[in-house]
Amino acid sequence: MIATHHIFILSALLLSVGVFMLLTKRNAILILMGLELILNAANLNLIAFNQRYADALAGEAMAVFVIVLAVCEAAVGVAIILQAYRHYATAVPDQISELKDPA
Amino acid sequence: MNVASTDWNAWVPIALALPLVSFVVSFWMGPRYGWLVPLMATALLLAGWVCTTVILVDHSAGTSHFAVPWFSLGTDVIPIGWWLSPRSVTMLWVVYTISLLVHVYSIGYMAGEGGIARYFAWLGFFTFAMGGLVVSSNLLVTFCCWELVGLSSYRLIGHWHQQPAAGAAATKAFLVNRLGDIGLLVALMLLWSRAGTLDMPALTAMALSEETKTAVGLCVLLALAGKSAQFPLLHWLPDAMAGPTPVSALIHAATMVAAGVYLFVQLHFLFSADALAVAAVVGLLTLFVGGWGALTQFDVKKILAYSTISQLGLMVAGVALASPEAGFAHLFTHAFFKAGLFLGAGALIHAVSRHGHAPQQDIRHMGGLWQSHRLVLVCFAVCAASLAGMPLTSGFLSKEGLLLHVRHHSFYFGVMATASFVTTLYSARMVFYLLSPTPQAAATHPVPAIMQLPLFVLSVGSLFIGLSASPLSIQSWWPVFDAIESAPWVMVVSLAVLVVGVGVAWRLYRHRPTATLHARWVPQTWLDAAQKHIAVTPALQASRLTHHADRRWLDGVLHAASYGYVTCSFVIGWVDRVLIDGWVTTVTHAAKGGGKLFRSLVNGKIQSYLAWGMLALLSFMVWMLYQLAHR
Repeated sequence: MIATHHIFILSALLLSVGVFMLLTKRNAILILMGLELILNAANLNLIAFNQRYADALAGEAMAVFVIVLAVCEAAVGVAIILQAYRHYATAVPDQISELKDPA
Repeated sequence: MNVASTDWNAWVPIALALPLVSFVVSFWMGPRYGWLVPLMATALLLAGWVCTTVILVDHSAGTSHFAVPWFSLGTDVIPIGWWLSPRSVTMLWVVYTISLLVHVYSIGYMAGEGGIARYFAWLGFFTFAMGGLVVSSNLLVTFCCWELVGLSSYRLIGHWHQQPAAGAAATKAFLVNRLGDIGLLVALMLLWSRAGTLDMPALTAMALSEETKTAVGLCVLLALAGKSAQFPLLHWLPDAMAGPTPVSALIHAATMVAAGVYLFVQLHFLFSADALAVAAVVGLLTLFVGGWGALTQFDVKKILAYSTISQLGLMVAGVALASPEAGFAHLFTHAFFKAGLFLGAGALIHAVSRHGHAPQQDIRHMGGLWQSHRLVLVCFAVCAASLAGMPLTSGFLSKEGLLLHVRHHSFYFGVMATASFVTTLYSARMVFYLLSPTPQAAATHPVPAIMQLPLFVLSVGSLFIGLSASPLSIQSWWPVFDAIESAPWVMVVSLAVLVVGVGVAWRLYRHRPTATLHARWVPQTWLDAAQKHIAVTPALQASRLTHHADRRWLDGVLHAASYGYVTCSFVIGWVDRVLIDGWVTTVTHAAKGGGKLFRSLVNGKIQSYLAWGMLALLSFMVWMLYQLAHR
């Protein structure tokens, strides 16, 4: 049985790596991957907490939901990236900067 | 004050307007119909002369006064109008007569000269100005005409403006006259402040204090000294000979220098006994300076100029010592014989001068004309005889009138008799030179009839019939002299003086000495030197001094002020730029910087939004933890 706090540390690392990827990766696909890491860090937390309260399987159930959600999210995200790629001929968010004033 | 007086006489404005019309029309016609100008001007003057003759006949006795308001200053009304008395209408007639004869003469004299239209225009204007001066009833109008007379003489003396001497003479005449004009202006101010009117009929009826009369008299004396070339302002007149000879005739006989004496005669009632004494001294000094000057000259026009000066001195002394009427009678006779002398001299100069050369005016080279120019010489001699005061001439009668008036003052009588002697001397000298058979003048031109006619008229006017019906008595035509009882011994004295004068002249000048006197004996030399030392040099020094003061002090103050101003401006500019603008720019820069900072957050990049979101979340969590830890 792995101690809960080790899992927490792993989860925190995973979250950090996810956030790092989210903020620094240039390609949208990799950013989406960072997002997946963050979701999985949350899943790890859910499972770790379920260890402490083992009589209910609420944590695992939630994690399963999250995985399903992550699949949906990845599908939608990849679809958006594909559409953006089609439209802008690039998948680099830095080059798509229409969310600001033209000036 | 009631200024309106309605003795309307249409002849007066017509007579005054005709020469003015001549002035305007001459200028207007000049460029295209130059040949017509002399005839037109003479015709207009003839019409004016007819008017003045009518006025003369109408007003041989009694006075008439016409005045209308000219302008008003507050409640004071300045009138303009005329005041006709036997004296003023006589003078008006003389002015027009002489002017008409000068016009006629000028047709011949100025033929072929340049600037004919200008010449005749200013002759007309001269006549108009003098006519206005003569008849004006208001001293302010008189003063205006006085100035216009000065202006016209300036233009005419400087007619040949290509010659530097003519320009200098004109300027000199004008400036010396200006000096005298100050006197008239001050006299008018004095009268205005003391009497409250400048209207001559009103002034005659007014009793002014002796001090006022002395002051006014001395000021008028200064004015007439300038205009009538009295000592010490007489040196402009010989220089004024640079003008055309007919102009000299007009200036000397009727218009320019006569104006001063005429004003003296008219304003005689404004002179106190003291002022009259000063005028007498000035007149007698002028008499001798002029007589002496005439004896030193060989230029015929300069001799005549000095003789005019001496005769004017005689008139002024006569008005001051004898009576205004006696002086005026001499002014009257002088007008004829002096105009005749000048026109005769002009004719002789015309006869002996070669075309294209400087005119020959030296009496030593004008002899030998008797055969060819008999009429001119006879007329000239008659006029000179009148100047000398020979019996049967008008000069004899008017001089007699002057001597009769002063016969009770042995000193003045002696001075005037001596002056007559000098006059005889220089007249005889001039005639001796001109009548001599030798030297034969180099080239002689005929004198046209149109120049001989005025000369003849004037020489006839210089005979006794110009003044009186009797060759021996002035009394018949001049009623004012009736009160003076005649004294045969006066006539004897004047005849004796004449005989002695001619005798001495014969003795001195029979052989026509040709030696020129040294310049220091010529009055002109001392007067020019005096002018230079008294007026010109101090004026130049004063101007240099003021120039220096201007450069040094006035400009210094201005420079200091401007430097101060510029310095202040710099300080104010610095404060404005650095402090006030600085504050404003700081605020704007701050706003701009803040705006830029916040704008830079919105850079359109998703990741930077995410990063800020993370940061905010993180901060929130740190804050939450902090709150929990310190609960």
